[in-house]
Amino acid sequence: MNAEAVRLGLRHMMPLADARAMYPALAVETADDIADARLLEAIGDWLSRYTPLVGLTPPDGVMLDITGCAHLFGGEDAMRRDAVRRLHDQGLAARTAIAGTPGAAWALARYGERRNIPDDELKETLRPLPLVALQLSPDTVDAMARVGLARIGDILEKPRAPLAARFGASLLQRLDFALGRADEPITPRLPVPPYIAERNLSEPATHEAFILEIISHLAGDLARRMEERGEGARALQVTLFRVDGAVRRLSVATSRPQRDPAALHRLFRERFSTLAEELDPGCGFDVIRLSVTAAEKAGIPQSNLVDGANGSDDLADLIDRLGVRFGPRRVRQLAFAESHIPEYAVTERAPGSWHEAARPSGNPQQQAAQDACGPTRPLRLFERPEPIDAIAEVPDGPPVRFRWRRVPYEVAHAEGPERIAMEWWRDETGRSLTRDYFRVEDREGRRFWLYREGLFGSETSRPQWYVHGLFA
Amino acid sequence: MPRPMAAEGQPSLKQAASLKQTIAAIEAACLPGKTRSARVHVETGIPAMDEALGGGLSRGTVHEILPRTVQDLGAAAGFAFGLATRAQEKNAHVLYIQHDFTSAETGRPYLPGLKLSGFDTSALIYLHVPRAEDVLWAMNEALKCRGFSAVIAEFPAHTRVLDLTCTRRLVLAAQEGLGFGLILRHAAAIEPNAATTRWLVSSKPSRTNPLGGIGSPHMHLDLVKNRFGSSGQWNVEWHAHDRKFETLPPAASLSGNLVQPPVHRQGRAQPRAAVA
Repeated sequence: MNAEAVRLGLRHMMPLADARAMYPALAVETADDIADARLLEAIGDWLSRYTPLVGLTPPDGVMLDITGCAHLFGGEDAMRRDAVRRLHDQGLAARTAIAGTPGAAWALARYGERRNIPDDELKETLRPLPLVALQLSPDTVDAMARVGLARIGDILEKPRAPLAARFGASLLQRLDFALGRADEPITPRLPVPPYIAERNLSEPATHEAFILEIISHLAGDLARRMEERGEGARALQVTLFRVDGAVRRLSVATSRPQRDPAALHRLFRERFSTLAEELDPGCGFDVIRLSVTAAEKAGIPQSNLVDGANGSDDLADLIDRLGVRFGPRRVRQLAFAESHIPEYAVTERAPGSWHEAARPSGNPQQQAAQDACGPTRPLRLFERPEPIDAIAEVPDGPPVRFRWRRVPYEVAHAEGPERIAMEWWRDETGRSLTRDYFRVEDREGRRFWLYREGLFGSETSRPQWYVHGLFA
Repeated sequence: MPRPMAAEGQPSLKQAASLKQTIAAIEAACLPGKTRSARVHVETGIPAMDEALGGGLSRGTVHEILPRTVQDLGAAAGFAFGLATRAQEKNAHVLYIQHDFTSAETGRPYLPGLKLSGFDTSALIYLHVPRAEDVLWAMNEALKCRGFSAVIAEFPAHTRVLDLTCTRRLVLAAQEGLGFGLILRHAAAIEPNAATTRWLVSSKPSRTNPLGGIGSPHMHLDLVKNRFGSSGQWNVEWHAHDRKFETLPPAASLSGNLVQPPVHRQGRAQPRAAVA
């Protein structure tokens, strides 16, 4: 309810017909729950400038755990007033309350008059509030109303056992939550990061270079704290709070625990440069927060006196930057997989394990072919085999000539067939055809890996030919 | 150390190349952080070719490899991987960069094939980027990195990104790193660029192996540009087991007398600005 509506005498949950009867000119909008939920999330994001522990209490509430944060904003009341004022500037009317328990704060914000109550006055303040302030289900509230229980004060001194027997244990649980006899956890919307550094700016920042500069300072702060605990960051997030309430988050991940501010600065510079649209600072960002969202144990880096910069550090740094710029899924290390189907014989994984075992030895295990014979697998494999027109002997002879991408090739030599059937567990339809692979060389010396799909006669009457790879 | 000079008072091309090499070796030995590049060249294994290259294919710069026709891409890729295999050393990786178009059009490097060709596959890092500009950017960054022995970047036949300025930048970047960059283009292009050498590669029929099958990869190499040495043409085989290139014994050559001695270029007495 905004101030205007209150002045007109409208009430929350008032039937629309009544409101229309009072003010026929009233503009009516259908409630959009999804948009409301999104707005609530956005408000929650923005409120995380006050504390990292922000929980949503849908449909219309945000719960902040301000333990240990209030003094940063000049005390609890100053903090609350600051939030209300800033929300007001964004066009939002807010009812707020601060109390010792989430339940009490929830009740006071909605049904109470006082905005901040010390713990010892909690009980007396809650006493006159309606029972619905305990976040009970409407059924319970109705049932209690029928026996004359309307306010929290009505049940405070009642014996607990009969209440629980009649209205369910949840009633007493809610009461205990509100009074602080039991701890009600706030479920944070986002996990609370292990390390946070932030800067409040009196003059909102609009320039990217300036923002990066601040990030670099914050990274320096975090680096010191991480070093004390012997940790490094695996994932980081920058949260930019815009003056008008919008919140931008930019995340980067690293391939190994990292705490070097210069490297982190480079990562974020890369991240900024990949933003599809402009950063859109609007009137500027007034709070910039750098948080480490995942940390890992990391030893003290040793620099090699002889070599100067360490090659593998250099490499990991580059991998991180490539990952930030192009997406981590585009920087891969290839590995062998147990499959004889050519396209499944290779898997990809993230290059991140810079352990000794994963490092190239410089001496590959000798699996190379004898020199007289060419390799039996091609150097390049097509992402999908390309159909070709081929002339071959039936039933299973090698191709004599074929046409690929409108160019005819005369086969001079062919080796094969190497028969490869689909692995049954991959063959969902049960209709995959057997492939006969041939290594062929044309008269010019170009070497191809061709296959015929389908066994002539038993599987198909017109086998299709494909080119699957190129040899050197 | 006095060195004999050519009669005209101008050092010959070959001498200039060998002097540069000496300087590079001294620099590599003295400058901090350059110890690993003490070997400034990667020997191909073919004496005539290494001689034309002044000792081998130089590290710390960029070379260009082109298939003579579109159909020769397999051979060109084979040559590129052969060079990368020669350059492989302990703890150094090889980066292969492709973009969406080139990988969709001509396939990706295939690990089992690489392994059978003698390449240490644990060293391979594969980067797949959206556009040709990104290939250039990534190659530039990777060449500066000291963790790679080779950076192979594939470019489509028609691309505007590989001009003189960009390739010059690549060469400068490569000087910071330890390995060489190989530009693998899908078709022969004529635009000038700053690559140190340019190779035209075409497939050649292989010798049949004793069992009657297809033999080792056989290709024709045409070194058409070499900033610090002479050009030349060779027919070579890649021997996977020994991990080296070899020329065919003349008798076995299928294509007659195509093996030519390196041709020394005339009229370029003054080598251009040093890129050591």
